[in-house]
This record gives sequence, C-alpha cells and structure tokens, in this order.
Amino acid sequence: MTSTVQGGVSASRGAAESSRAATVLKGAVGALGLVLLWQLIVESGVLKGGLDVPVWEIASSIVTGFSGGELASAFLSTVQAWATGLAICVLLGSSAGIMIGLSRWADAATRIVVDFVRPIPSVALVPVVVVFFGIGIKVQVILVVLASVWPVLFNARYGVQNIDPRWIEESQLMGLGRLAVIRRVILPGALPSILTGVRTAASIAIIVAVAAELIVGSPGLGYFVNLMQQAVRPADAYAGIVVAGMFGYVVHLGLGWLERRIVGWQLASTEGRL
Amino acid sequence: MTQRLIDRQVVRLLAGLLTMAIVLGVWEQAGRSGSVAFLPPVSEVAREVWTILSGPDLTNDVLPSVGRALAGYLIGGMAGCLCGVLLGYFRRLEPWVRPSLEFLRAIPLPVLLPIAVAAMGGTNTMRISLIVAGAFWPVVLNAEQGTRSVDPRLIDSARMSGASTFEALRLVVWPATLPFIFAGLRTALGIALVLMVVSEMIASTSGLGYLVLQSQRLYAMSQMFAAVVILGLLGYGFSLLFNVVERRTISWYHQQKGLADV
Repeated sequence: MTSTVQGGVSASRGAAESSRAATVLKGAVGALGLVLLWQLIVESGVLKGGLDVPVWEIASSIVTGFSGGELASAFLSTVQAWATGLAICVLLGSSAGIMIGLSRWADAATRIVVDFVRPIPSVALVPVVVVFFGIGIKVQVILVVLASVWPVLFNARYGVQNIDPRWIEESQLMGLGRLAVIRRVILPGALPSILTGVRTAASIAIIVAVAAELIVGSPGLGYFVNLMQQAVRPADAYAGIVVAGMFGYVVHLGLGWLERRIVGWQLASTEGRL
Repeated sequence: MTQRLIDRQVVRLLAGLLTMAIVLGVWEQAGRSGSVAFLPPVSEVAREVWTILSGPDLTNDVLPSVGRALAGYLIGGMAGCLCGVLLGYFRRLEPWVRPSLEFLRAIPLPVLLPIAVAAMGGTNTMRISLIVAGAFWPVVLNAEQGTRSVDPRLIDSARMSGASTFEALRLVVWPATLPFIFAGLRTALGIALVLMVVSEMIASTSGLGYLVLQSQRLYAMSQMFAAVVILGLLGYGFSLLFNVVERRTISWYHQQKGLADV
C-alpha cells in the first residue's frame, strides 16, 4: 500500500482523487441503504411498543436536541469525561509502559499484580468507584482510566522492547544522556505502537463512560438515552444512540488519520535508510 | 549458563510475588485499621469469595453469568467469522458497506440497553443478544481484513485446479484467515465480559453484575469486592482457556513466526 502511495507521481494524482471520490460516493450510497433498511424494519412492524420510530423523526430529534440543548449537553458531558480520562490514560499508560519496557526489574515486579488486575471487566468497578468517590463526572473519568490505561501501557511496553538495542547503544556511545536517549530514540521508536494502543483505548473509553452514566445516572449520553426511553420519547433515545455512534466513528477516523500521518512518516524515513 | 538463566527467572518471579504481597498487605492493614472508609480487609474478601463459590450464589449468580457470556460470545464469534470471510471474499462489496459498518461498530453498546430492555424485557435473550452484538464486530472486521490479505492468485490457482468457491474458501482462505480471526476473538472476549456485567446491572435479578451492584446498594462491602474478584478470576480463566484453544488451532502459525515458545 505504501509503495503505491510513494510511487504516486503528480500525473496519477488526478486518478487517485477520482477513485477516492468514487469510494466516498459508494460509502454514501451504502449509508443511504442502511437508513432505508431501518425504515423498512419500521414499516414491517417487527418493532413494537413505540420503538418503531421513522428515520425523519430521529433526524429531527437530533436537530432539535442540539439546538434545544438537552442532547447537546449530554453529549458534551460524555465527551468531557472521555477526553479527560483518555488524556490521563495516555500520560500514565505511556510513561509506565516505557518504564516497564526499559527495566526488566520493573517488568518482573509489576507483572503478577497487573495479571491479576487486568482481567477484571472494567464495568464491574462502577459500584466500587461510586462507594469511594461519590458521584459526578469524576466517576466516569476514573473508570475510563481504569479501563483504558491497559492497551496504552502494553503497547508502549511492546514498542520499547521492540526497539533495536543497537540504536540505544549507539546513541549512548554518541554521548547522549539517559533522558536524551528516551526522548530522541525510545519515544519516537515506540510512538507507532503507543498510537495503536491509544486507538484501542479511545473506543474502550467511550463504552465505559457511557456504561457508567447509564448505571450511576450521572449526566451524559448513556443517562440521556435511558431517561428518554423512560419518558416515552423513543425518538430522542434513538437520537442519543446515533450521536454516540457518530462520535465513536469520528474518533476512529481521526485517530486513524493521526496514526497514518505519524507511522507513515516513520515508514518513509526508515525506508530511505534501508 | 542455563542454571543462571533459571536463577534469574526465579528471582524475577519472587520480585513479582513480593510486590503482590506488599499490595495485599497494605490492603489488609488499611481494611483492619479502618483508615479507608468502607474498605474491607482482604482476608474477609477472600472468605466471602469462598462463601459465594460454595453457596447458593454459585447457581444463582455465577453460573448464569458464565452461561450468558459463553452463549453470546460463541454465537457472536461464529456469526462474525462467517460475515467477515464473505465480506472479505467478495472484495467489491467493501467500499459500499465499510462506512456503514464502521458506524454501527462505533455505537457504544451499553447505550442500546434501555431500548433492548424495552424491546425484549429483562430476559436472558436480551442480555445474550447484547453480548452477541459485542462479540460480533471485532471478529467481522478482523476476518474481513484477513480474508482480503490472501493473495488472490492463490485463490485463482485453487479455482483453476478445479476447486469450487466453497472449497477455495475452506482450503485456501480459511486457514490463512484464522490468525486474524483469533486476534479478533481475543478482543471480543473482553468486550463480551464487559457487556455481560453491564447487562446484568440493568433490569436484572441474577448474575455477577447484579451481585456487585446489589451489594453496593446494601453496603455489603466484602460481598461487593468478592464479586469483583470472582469476575477477575472469570476473566483470567476465560483468557487461559482461550490461549489453549488458540495454541492448538493455529500452532503452525506461531511456529512459522518463531513464537512457539512464547
């Protein structure tokens, strides 16, 4: 795949652009198909109990929800908890992962504890966190950290352990200090792997944030959907679900783009040297 | 040389156990002294774990949870394999359906729970359906990616030697896709357990998720911690089992990559 990108001279750029336009168009047709499929399900009468909400009602619920503020504020609460938790995960997970990756002793000392803590399904900790930290946005943030720190940590460790040891030795021979080696050799070397971890962490974080809102009843999309369902406003409940899916999709695309930019840069630079 | 290697491994294991012992010791001390409100000592939690596993809670809460998770995981995983391989095999389908699939996958499934309860009630069917949906997505996407990574010339040569589409799928595509499918199944395992717990916390009267939430509401702290510990053990057990199955099924793949001893 990279070879075609690299080989892409300006003459073939037009062709690449038109094929990208075709891909977008096909995707849009597929999305339209999905909308029609939903409408077909609604018309068929499979869904009962007021759950058969036509497409246009859901669409207008999204619009009014965002202009009226109810859906918008639920959405912002979820995003806030998600972003705060994920930022902490990235800092904590990558620094701990790099440390464990660099020191066999740190790895050995933490391994058993980590092996015991990690398999706990994160959502099971919702009641535990509520007991010790009360309620509010901090519950979601803490849970996001507890659930999403692992992929970042493990990928950082993996990334560090897979750096060619000769690079480290050579840079030490060239007189770089320990911190400089970490900053100039280890961090860039482990970055692609860390980014893969962040991508996994980001999607876990959305799931956990929404689940915590639903169970605890703190403001956010999870609680919003539950509230709307109980208030017999299914169109608004669906609107919340669609917004949650859109958010997840945008995050996925955004992180994919970031990863391609950074990893692509690394691929290009190493290819030049080999 | 080997003796030194073994010695070093023993020392590392001891270091790990020492950290574990310190963590448990601090927990026990904090629980006994009452310096952290609501924190039960770890010995009490351990006793409670035993009470749950040897008493009526085993059949009321633990086994139903295990059954739901397994049923949902197996159904979702198999459906995911099937759809993913077909989607990857018919390559021209991909640009049409990719954005829709990515959107559907991006919906955080717990948000569907209120609707699922309204549609199906607080039943096993509802909980298993949610777990099926959770296990499905990672497997589909990996199976699709794995199938597409098969060199089309291999499929063509199988077809030229007289294989039918089904035979080409079974003999050429399927083995090449298995490592990808297992990677997807591993992700799906964690998600299935999370959805099991969430679904048992809403409109439920049984299961480990129910037990955790109910103990918290009754302020039965050691029971709450014990249920969390059991969930951790369950997750650990499932992943051990998974490793055994994976190693048996795709041992050739690990050998090829030189990972057989890892």
